[in-house]
Amino acid sequence: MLMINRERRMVLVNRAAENLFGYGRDELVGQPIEMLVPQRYRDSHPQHVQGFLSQPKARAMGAGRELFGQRKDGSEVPIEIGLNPIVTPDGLFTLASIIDITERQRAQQRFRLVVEAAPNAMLMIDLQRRINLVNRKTEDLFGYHRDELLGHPIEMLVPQRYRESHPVLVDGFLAQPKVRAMGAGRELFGQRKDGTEVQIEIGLNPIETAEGLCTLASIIDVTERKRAEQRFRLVVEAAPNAMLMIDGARNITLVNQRTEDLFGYDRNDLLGQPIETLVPERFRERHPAFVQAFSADPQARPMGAGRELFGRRRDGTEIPIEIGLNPIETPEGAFTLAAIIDISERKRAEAAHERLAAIVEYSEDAIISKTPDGRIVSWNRGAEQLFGYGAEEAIGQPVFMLVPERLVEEEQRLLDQIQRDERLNHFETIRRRKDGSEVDVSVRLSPIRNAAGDVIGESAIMRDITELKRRDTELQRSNAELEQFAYVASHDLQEPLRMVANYTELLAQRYRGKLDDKADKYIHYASDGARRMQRLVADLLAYSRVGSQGKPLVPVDANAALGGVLESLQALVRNAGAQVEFDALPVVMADEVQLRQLFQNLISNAIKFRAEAAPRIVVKAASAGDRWQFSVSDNGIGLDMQHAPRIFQMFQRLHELGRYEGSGIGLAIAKRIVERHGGSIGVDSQLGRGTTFFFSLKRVPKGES
Amino acid sequence: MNDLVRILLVEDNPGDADLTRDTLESGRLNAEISLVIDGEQAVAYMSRKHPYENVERPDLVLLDLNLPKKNGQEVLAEIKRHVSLCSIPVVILTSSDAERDIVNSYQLGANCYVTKPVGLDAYQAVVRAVEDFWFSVVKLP
Repeated sequence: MLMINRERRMVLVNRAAENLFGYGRDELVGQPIEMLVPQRYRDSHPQHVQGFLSQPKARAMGAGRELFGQRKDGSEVPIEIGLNPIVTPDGLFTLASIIDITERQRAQQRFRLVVEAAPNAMLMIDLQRRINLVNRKTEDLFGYHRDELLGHPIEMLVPQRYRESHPVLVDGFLAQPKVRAMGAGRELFGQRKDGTEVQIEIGLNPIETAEGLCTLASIIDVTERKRAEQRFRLVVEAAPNAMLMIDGARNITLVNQRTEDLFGYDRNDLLGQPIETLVPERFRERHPAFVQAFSADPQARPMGAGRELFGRRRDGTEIPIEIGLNPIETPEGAFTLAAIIDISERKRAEAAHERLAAIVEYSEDAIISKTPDGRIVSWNRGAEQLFGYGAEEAIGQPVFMLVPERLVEEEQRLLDQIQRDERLNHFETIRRRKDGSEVDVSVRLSPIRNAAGDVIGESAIMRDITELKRRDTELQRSNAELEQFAYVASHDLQEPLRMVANYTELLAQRYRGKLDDKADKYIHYASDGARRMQRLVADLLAYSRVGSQGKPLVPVDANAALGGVLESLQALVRNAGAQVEFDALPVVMADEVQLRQLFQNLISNAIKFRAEAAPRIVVKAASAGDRWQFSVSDNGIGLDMQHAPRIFQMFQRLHELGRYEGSGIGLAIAKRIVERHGGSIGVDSQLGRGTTFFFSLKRVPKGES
Repeated sequence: MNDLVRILLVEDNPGDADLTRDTLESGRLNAEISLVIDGEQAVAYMSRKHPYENVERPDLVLLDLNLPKKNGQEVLAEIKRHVSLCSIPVVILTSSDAERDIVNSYQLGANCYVTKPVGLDAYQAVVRAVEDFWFSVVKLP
């Protein structure tokens, strides 16, 4: 502080003044105040002092201009000066209170530099909303030079449509000045010098300055971010899943088309609604707690932690869904983006899969699968029961552990064969149980293919056929016994029969007419009965021989077989005036003797049961899969189809005794022959129109001739 | 009266034996029929062993296959092995028509093989045909 008199000479200085200016008190007292004024202001200074003295009242000096003092060493110091007139009996004095504002100026300078270097546009306005500070970024953003901005009202940067309301908003801020974002969530726009608008975000800071309360605004061009947001929306919209976003209050803020499709709502019915709209009633109450838990630890993860999730459609139906959650931080706060997948299809597929798996698991058959190199991959209960190994013991083991050692080589050969020829996939063999015992099994193998059709393994279905085998063996034995019995019986029956027949005939020869009429009749009945019985026995023998005397099936030319038959039937055919036609017939797998007998029985049958017209017999063969279907058609008397099943039975006759010769064995033998050849026989007929017999025989397999 | 022809009938079935004998004897030849009823008797007869020391050698043998003690094929084999007997024709007359029996018999030197037919007429016809053939058609040593 210092005091000057009317002559502007210093009369009083304090220690602080000495320090500030570098002079000793003695050097100052009595000297004009101008010695402390920089040279360039000295001339005008007395005038200012005069001005003050003419209207002496306490006030700040300089009227806003920057003031400087000059030190003893010639350097200048920025100062502020408060003036107070002091009236004493010795006259009017002026007390000047001088503050060194070097530090404050430096701080201001730093502030300006910081603002200038800020990455955002920044500007400051005073209480009159005049711009008093802008930085480079502000110039860039709005296209004005700072000289065009400084001192002008902030509204020059506000689009026309908001200008009128803007001062009110500013006043509102100033009434409660604190750091906050401007606009309270509304979209804000600035107007450039060229008239275009730019979307911005503004942060506001109240700042106390020497000039009073100012407002520092930090302005961010959000054009890019808005574009990014737009892109985000497009991506969400185009996402293959239903996606929606909720805000911190669990309200839906974004949905895509898929969401509309999935839940059956229009997006306008969803936006702004709580997410619980899409949650089934029974989960609604608990749902907010789950959302909160997610918000407490927001990280991308699937929702539900393994529980089954359901969504609720507009129509009230529920859909099984999976939800992936992503926290999204935005300037408007934390959001949660949910990707929703409709898993109805998958659930259905899973259910179907489970059903299939259960069928496999609970099958009585052993069903196992293995890798191409023969390791067991799956093992069902049937396998456990059949082999005694538990699934955990069997899986991973080589499948050959189930094959008795002596059969391993054969098995390998069989598997190789199967790989070459997929048709051979069923065979019977022996397997070894865990306890070392062996079991007869039937095995059916199928390749397992992936979606691309590549073989990725093989499945084997195995069934215990011990019982089947036993019955099969039993059946074979009993069949053989029966055949043997029939053969022996009919053979041995012939001998005594011959006696009966021969001697009754001898009786007839020798004694006919020598006894009475009754004796002749009795002898006739006895010999006739014996003859018929002989015929039956002979037929029975022939029938049993089809099985017991049969030869292996080899390729046989049916033309030759039929030709041979026609030759031996020549007389019969000629006498009947019959005509036998046949196309070229194929080579089939047959026992030639029996094939001949088959043709012979059918053709002689056709001739025997002829109508009035001359018999016409047609033999044909047509391809039918792995068989040849033969037909022998005639124009004979035909038969009523209701009797058809009977005609192939042994000794069944449709006509009364004596009308047609024969015991009724011919077709039974024909049937037995066809069946022994692995085929089937049938008949089609119309009474009075003729009859067609069909039978099938095996083709000659490829590679055999 | 024709020359006497001697026929040995080896047949265990008396019915067949009688029928054959009846047929042969009622034929136009003067046939002397001797009957033995098992294989051993047949062999003894042919080699004139006891009790057949005094029998005449037959001109023809009608031999059944299914015989007690020694079957027909053994009898046939013995006859054909014997130098002095092998020239006597042996006709197999049997109810068997098994391929095996037929082949076997010819391999053992049977002169012909006849299956006993079913029916009296046929039986008689066959027996007569055999008789005719061997005693009227062919020349015997």
